[in-house]
Amino acid sequence: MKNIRMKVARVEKDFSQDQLAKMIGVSRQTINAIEKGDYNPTINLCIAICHALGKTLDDLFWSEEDTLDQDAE
Amino acid sequence: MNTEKVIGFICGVGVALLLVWAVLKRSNTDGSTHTEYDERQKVIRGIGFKYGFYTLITYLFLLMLAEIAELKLPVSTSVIYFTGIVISGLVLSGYTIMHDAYWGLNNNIQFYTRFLMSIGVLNLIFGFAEMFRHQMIVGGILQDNFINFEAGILLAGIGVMLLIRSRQNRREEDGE
Repeated sequence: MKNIRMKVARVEKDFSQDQLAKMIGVSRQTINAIEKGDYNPTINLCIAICHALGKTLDDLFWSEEDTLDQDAE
Repeated sequence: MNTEKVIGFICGVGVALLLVWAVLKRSNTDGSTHTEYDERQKVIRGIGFKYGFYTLITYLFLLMLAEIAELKLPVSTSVIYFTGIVISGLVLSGYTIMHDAYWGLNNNIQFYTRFLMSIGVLNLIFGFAEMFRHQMIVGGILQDNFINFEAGILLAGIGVMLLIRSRQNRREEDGE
């Protein structure tokens, strides 16, 4: 599943994929893979991305579906 | 193999190791001999090594079958084994290149590319020279000097895949 919220947060900060990648010490292709939903990052990388974009884990990586599933339980 | 050949081989490997160390020192932007990969690249490289390993196992299994069937291949023993290394190396490189895990984060890509290209071209030149001197096939058997040609093919193959992938990446960056 595409991570649109991460892409939007990056664009809001006016960062290119390459700039964000350099900030957190990964390759540009890794950022691209996360945004396209081709790669699920570890929690450490999620936190690094959140710090760089000034967002919380919930803002970027918690999907509405997960919340709905919890409510249903 | 005679003693001179063994000593020559050991010296050759020693010089090659020294060269590899010197190249590694120069090929990373931070002067380290260790290439850094991010977490996704490490996963991809692991899968690449798995496929490379399976390829080598399959190749050796086929060789074993040929041996059992008493099939005499018109190829020198070292070429047979080196072919396995080339094929599995191409599988590993191809997989990591196509999944953007070939270049590490601290690699000096320009230097690396130039270095690999020169080694590839040199090997191809040696290979063609042997071919033109009619030393490649002697007595109907493909000789050891075909290894130069194979190494050239391996590096040329890697070069072509890198070119294709870098074009795809450029297009991807434009549409970012």
